[in-house]
Amino acid sequence: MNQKGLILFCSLFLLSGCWDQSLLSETKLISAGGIDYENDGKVISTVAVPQAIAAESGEENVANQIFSTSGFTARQSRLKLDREVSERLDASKNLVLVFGEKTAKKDIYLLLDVFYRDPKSSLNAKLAITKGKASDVISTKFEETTSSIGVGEYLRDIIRSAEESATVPEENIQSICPLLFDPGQDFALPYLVPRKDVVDVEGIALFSGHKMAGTITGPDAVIYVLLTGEKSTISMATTKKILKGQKENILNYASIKIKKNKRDFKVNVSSDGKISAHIDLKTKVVVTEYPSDKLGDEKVLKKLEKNLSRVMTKDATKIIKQLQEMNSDPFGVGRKVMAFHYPTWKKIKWSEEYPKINFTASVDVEIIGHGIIE
Amino acid sequence: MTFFKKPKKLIKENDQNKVSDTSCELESNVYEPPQTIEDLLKKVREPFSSTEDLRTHWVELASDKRKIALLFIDSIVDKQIIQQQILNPLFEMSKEIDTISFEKVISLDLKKQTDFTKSQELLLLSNTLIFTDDPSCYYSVVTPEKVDRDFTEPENEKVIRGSHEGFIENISSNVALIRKRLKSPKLLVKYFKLGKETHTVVAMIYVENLANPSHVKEVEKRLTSIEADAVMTPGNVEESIEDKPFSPFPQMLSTERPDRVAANLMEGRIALVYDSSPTVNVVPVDFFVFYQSPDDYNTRWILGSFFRFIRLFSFFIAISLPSFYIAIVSFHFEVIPSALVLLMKSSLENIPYPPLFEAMLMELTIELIREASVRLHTKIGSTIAIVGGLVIGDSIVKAGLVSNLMIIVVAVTAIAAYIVPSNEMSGAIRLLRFPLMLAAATLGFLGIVFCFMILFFHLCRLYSFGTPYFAPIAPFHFSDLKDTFFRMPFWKMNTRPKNIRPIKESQDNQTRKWDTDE
Repeated sequence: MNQKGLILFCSLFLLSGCWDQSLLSETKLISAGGIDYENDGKVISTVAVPQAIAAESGEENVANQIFSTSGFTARQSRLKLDREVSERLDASKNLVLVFGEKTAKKDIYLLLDVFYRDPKSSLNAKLAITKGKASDVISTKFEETTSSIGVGEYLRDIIRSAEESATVPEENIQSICPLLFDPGQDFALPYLVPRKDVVDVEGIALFSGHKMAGTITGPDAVIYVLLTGEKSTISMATTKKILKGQKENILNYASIKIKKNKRDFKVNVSSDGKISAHIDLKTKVVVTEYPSDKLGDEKVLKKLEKNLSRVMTKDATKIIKQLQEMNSDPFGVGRKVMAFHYPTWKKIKWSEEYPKINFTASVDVEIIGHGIIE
Repeated sequence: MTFFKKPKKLIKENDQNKVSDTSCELESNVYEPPQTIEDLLKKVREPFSSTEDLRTHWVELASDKRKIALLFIDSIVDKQIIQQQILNPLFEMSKEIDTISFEKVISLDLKKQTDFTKSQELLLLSNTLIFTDDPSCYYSVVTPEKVDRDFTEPENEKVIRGSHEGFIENISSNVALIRKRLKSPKLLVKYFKLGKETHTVVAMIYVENLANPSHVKEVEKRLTSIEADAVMTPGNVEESIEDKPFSPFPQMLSTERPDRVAANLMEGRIALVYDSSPTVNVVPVDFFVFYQSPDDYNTRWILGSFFRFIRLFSFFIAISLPSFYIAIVSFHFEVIPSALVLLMKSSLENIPYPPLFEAMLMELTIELIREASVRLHTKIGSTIAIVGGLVIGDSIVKAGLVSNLMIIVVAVTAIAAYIVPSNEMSGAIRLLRFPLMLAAATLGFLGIVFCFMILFFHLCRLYSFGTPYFAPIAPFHFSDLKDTFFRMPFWKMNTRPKNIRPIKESQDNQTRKWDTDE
């Protein structure tokens, strides 16, 4: 028995070999990936591989190597890439996955499938849609990327900072997976626009099913994030035009920072089968900029609250209208209908019904602070 | 003075050389003592053949010219004691008394012996034997030579606060050190003689109303069953009586600190004190005993708990950090945070061999440095530290043989391994990480998990003198956790560890009675 055990024990080490070993030193780590369709339907994969150029003092420079190939599927193009690159390519530390706008307007899942199937793929990589081609974003040398960090880190960081200021919702490969297969809810991804030296997070790209349907840009994106029910992020702030015709144009504006956001989301189905939805936001804000001042006065404060509520309600209604036009349902109205009014859900075809429902929103702003000056 | 035949001078002669001794013996034939004494002496001397430090000293009483023979091994007796406790009284006595009644006059340690087979052993235990003309009996006086060193603090078990006394190489002093701390009439000392040739004295010490009788019996049984010619060191005894000789874990606590022993005795454990060794063993023990240090109980309990926690944490670091590192860089680098991954990769990039080899190389280097510095004089030791630490550490990285990170990992591991306040446990841990590294290099995290499983199986199955070794984790005793991962305040420790089944389980520990009595 003992002898047998010994033989088994030894064979564990002698016979197993290195079948699944993947040495860190013999791998090329992908930090950012971009996927586009070519005109003939082929898939172009572009990856950025940061190479640290070791320096004596511990400071390291990152050189980005860009590789690009095309294949019939996402996986095939990756396999081709592997053959091009000296060491083994590994996507487990991938930070960002970018799709070109044209590509995203086709079925996005067909390209994402490969990421869900691989147990080692990095599911917390950020997803983004870019204006133009993804390969351009990955391979362009932006100002910041050349200094110290790789393009993957750069893109991840701009998306993350956009998330913190609530201009884009927080999503990654993992988090959109259930939404991709949910008929009652859609999702939105950050929308990038490459400029000469930088990449802008311009707003959000809305999806309808597996396909991109449109964008919401600028300050409206903050209202969108508020409508999703996001409680609060580090710097969830926006500037609104609340007045008209002041002496100086700047006096027309007020900037606020949202401290607390409470969403009340109701979906009703009337007896005759009419679906209506209503989002009621109760936000507590701090005024960070109000050149007109005199906020110490209760009346002025109340008036500002009222104006802010009015403007933001108007914006919210506008956004909802846009969403209905795009037939994108990122708030999950359909999910609510499915959950609480299933007989109705069974009767209707949601993609046809959603643009027609009565969907309203109201924002109630309460100022809880106005900075350290009276 | 005239009654005695130059006693002072004789002593002097004894000191001078051995030739005079033999001449003294030859001389004895001239005195023609009764034949019986001669025969007796011859018989007693016989097993020692012709060793020259076994000496006979003749005393002739002035009163009746009777002869008395003193027999002793002069290398292990204190001649001052012989002079003061035997020769001087004899001289005083012989003025008046005809029949010598030794029992009344001479030293406290005097014992009348009738068993002549014991004489040999008594001689070896620093006794002086006194033979009179009565051939049926003889007398023995313990006259040990005291060449003890001071009770200095043991080098390998230093504490910041607490007693700085340590055991020494003398068994009676060691027992005294324990007695000094436990002035209880219930503290029992039992002596055993081990080794047919060496006659090493071992004292078994326990508190009678605490230590479980079955443990006492078991220890006694195992000790008496040792039938070796030589039992020289505590290590010999340890290996003879421990439960699982093939286990990497020490099953007896070895310590040189009397306060540690006393505290363990009060928990109902048994201490084994060895002659000529400053090491005292404590049985039965569990895993966590090795992580207790007297310092814990002298610092505030919150701090003590913190230290304890750090120590147990170091167990995991010391065992698994190198293997964890190997597993990560060769199997699971996706667990590295992305901010760190590039850094690690660039440090590893140009290392010419696999991580396992790299780790083994560094671990063995550390062990080399350790082994070299243990044996060396302190002054040369620091040279080794500089050469080993700085030169090897720095230049091995510059030469590109080992990555920066590996140096950090190995250094942290080495420090963690030495945090354990027991040298044996630290050794066990250092040894155990090698199979773990091998498993990690073969199977990644899975291999580490396998190894830890086997390790914990083993720990759960291990017994020390019939008590579970991994208690209070397995079997689980919630109340006993108070002195394992944490060190609860003194006034909370009201029960003794359950796994050693002390007779009296609860302690009378109402130390904060003033606080509750209002």
